Amino acid sequence: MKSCSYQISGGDYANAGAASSDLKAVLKRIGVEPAAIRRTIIAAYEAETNVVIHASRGEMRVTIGPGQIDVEVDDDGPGIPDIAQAMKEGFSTASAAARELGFGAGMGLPNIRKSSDRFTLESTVGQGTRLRFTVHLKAHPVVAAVSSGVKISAERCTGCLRCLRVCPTQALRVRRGPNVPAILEHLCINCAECIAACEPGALAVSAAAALPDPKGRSLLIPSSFLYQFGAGVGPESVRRALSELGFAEVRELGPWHEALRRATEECAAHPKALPVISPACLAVVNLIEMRFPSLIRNLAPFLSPIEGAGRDWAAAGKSVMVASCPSECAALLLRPATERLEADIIPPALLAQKVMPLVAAKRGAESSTASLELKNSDSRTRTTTRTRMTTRTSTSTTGDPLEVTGIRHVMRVLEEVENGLLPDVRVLELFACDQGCFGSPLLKEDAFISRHRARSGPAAKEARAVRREKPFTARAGLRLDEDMAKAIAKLSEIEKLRRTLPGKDCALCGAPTCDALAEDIILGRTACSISDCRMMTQK
Amino acid sequence: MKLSELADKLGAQIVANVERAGDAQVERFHVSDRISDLLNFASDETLLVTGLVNMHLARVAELMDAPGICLLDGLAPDAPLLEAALRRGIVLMISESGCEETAGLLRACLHEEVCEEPD
Repeated sequence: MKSCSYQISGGDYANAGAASSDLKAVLKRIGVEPAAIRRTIIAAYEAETNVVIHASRGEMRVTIGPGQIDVEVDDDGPGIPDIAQAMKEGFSTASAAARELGFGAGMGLPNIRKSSDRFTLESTVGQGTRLRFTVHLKAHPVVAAVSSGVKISAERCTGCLRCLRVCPTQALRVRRGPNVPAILEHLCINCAECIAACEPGALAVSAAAALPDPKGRSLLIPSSFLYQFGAGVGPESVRRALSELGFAEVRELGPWHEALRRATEECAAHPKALPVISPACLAVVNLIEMRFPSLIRNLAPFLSPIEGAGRDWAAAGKSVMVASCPSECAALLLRPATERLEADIIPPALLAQKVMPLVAAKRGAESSTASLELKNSDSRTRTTTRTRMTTRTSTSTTGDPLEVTGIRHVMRVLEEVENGLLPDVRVLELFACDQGCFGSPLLKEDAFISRHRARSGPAAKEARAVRREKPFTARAGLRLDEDMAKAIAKLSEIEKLRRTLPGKDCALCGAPTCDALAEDIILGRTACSISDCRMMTQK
Repeated sequence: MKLSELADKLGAQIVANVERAGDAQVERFHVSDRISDLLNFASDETLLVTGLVNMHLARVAELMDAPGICLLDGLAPDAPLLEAALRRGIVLMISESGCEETAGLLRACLHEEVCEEPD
């Protein structure tokens, strides 16, 4: 709980609103969701000006809990004889002087009631008025949806600290002796950077560890999976191998990527904000929700391809889905209980192990398979244009989208968009991995090579983009504490401690930067102390 | 639309934070002479248009993150308003024309994106 109180002087028009300004700054610093700030501030400002207009003295007391803000405003004004009348829009007893300034429109109390979730008013004529309102805060904005899709096997960690350095949001810590990597879930965007950097395999994707029985099940694979088995093995051989394994039906994610791209481009014809950003990569969506909340309205309102496919397949009964990155895993595995899929989620490697011997045997027997296949696809559904994430036919009506791949480039581009420096781009397609989903560290083949091969692959069945039912929501990722009161107190402590640290960001303490260590110590996140700093203990 | 562009089209003179007007974007405007009304309809994309000229406008704009204020009829802001706008980084412009004409021009500039004042 955080409490603060403000004295309000009646008639002091010059400072009317000062308490509300201060309150707003507090709410922002502790990461309250913008819509709740807006409602609170409208109500607080109206209540504050009421005191200035009608009373000689008043006090605003604010209590902020994790779930709500309670505001109580007392004044020693003349009191309200008829509360029902005062609540009517347009009724006002403000002085002519106040009206001249634009106050006294008779909308103050109705405004407070509209903006708050609970509102009470008590008044005694000749003694004063007490007004109370409450605004509910979203305590944990979408935390469930972004639980990390990264699985940690601490026994494999060698303490090399590479993951700390590559994590774009500083979400990783490696406490030493014994080495234990840990993910701060509120900061993790489920990109695959740490998995790519982790050579000993301590970090992996949190999917099933064994391939379920394929008999009669349908299978969804990323299109890139078809191009993982070398130059001699074309997509048709992989498909044959998959049906030999017993899968009843095999579908690729490519068409959902295609459909999303078309839908996003259509969106750009009537945009809410430009550029329209495709939600194709969930790690990018997470990044926007956490770091770039002002760009949430730029996101096209569709499900990502894997979520769309999951939705389409939810009715299809038991299936197996190959997730090619932590963000896809998290999207499929960590859904609310009501939307849980009857699907087993597996990493590509599990399936590749089974496919490899089948296609390897074939390769010896029919060495010309690949070239035959290419001829076949030539005559049938030879794709007409170059590949993006998949084979694609040109349907663009708004010019080509700008495609950006690789998390660091993505972050730079998003910053440019936020600063208004990209007015010449209408559609943005951003992927956290290099070369998009072909570049997932869970795939064996080099991204450039597999993507090049996919260019000449056959077109797959059509799919459609699925509109989102839930809007994208900002994540209070940088919030210091769930209890916003503590958050405020901690902020200054962290700053104080940080100034005593060397500022070299060597990461030997197990936190990626000195800032992060200071934050960890003050927040008591994992067992750590200032003695973890190697540079300070050496002196 | 950028506030600088909008000021150009209105023939309005920017008297505070002209250097910010190139960055500040608005998508709608709201006209009112009542503080409560402005407070209720302001957002981070709203240009506040008003016949008032006192410092409370700057407070409302600051509280609601509105990027700019447009005064009407060539009325100059009072000194506290000018100072408050400067301090809080709010773009302040003065339209020479009156309420109706300014609103008409704004509506033409911002197309269907305007937020009309309710009756």
